[in-house]
Amino acid sequence: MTPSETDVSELLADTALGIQTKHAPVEAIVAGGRRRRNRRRVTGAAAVALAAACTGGILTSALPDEGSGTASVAAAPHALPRPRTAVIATGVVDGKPWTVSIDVWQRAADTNEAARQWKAMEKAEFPDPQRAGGPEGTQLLHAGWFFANLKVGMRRSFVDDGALPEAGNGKVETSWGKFNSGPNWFAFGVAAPGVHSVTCTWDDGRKATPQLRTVAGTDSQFFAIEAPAPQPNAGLPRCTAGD
Amino acid sequence: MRDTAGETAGAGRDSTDFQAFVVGRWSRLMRTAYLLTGDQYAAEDLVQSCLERAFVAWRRVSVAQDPDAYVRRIMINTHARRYRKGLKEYLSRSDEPALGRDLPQRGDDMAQAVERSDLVAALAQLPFRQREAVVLRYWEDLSETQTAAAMGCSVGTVKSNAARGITRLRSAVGLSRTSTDTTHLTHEGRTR
Repeated sequence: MTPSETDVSELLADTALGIQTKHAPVEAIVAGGRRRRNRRRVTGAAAVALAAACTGGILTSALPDEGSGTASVAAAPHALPRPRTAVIATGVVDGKPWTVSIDVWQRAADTNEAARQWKAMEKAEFPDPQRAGGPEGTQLLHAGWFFANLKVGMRRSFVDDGALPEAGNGKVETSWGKFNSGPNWFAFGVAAPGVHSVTCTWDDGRKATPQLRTVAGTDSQFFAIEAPAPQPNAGLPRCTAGD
Repeated sequence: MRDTAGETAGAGRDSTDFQAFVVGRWSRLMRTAYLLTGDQYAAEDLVQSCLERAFVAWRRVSVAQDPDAYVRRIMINTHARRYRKGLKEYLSRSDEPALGRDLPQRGDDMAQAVERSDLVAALAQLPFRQREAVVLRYWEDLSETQTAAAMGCSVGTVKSNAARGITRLRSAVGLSRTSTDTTHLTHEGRTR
């Protein structure tokens, strides 16, 4: 540094260190961050709905006359990949109806399709640049991908996502979810094909048997069930295959 | 199955990490923001806004090679966005009484406090890109490459902005003291 730079550097340090900083408002920052994230999800969902509506319009207008023999846009190789969706659980919390739905994205046939599918997922679902091996979507060549979404009243939020489990390993993977309003929790899980029943054991010793649901496009099974609040640092819900 | 952010208990570890990050960086970010904005309240607002954005992207931030660089970039972008939106109140002007808030503390040298006010006023007069370059280079002690990454511009742009900023600051009234006055100061733990 030149003398004048050193001089300015010292003055900056003097000025910066001269201010008194209070304690970090951690709670306010976390609360603000959550509000930001929820706003972003709502905006994202609205954009997806708008895009879907536009796509629907284009598809309708591009559909061929009956018997013409021309291909529709939907059949074109560059049509945007889309998931299959199904509701797997419903209920009422704090007087508001809730649903957990699953989007299933098929396994990709080749690297090009994997990249396209990854891009479509990133646009349509909760974004995560690290998902499925990153923007090339390499993991999509080996397995399909699911997304679980929660809707309470009109509010939609992301619950979980992951690769669809392989058949025959008897695996049940779980995560906790919290309803947007109130202190109520639920357990979400995906069971490998071939699992016939699942039993969850809560922290207070009670047990529950959630209903397994299938979604078109995969043999994996999903469940979501209201649960007592987990203990802090409780880890993942203890739900195991019953047979 | 991976943890999901925020609403699942599996995100507890992420949340704890984030809170530790906030507590550890708050003071430093506040000082940088103060130099950028020239006002303590605006600085708090900027840092809070920047950390809220970091919370949203925490999954990415926490696995980034240099989380501090990521957050610094968020802060610079947020600052630039606000400036471009015309939030002029964001900057203290030399004719505003806000500068008078920087009163000397107990045992503080009056001359030092006046100098701080002069510097803040002089910083506020700089174009915001020059101010960013000066603050990042000479307060944050970043290299030209790191500053360029934070500002999202080329090294050449950093060089020219920092040089012009330094020249203007040096020519500002009240910045003519010798560097020997403050050799006792520590720069967040580093003796200068």
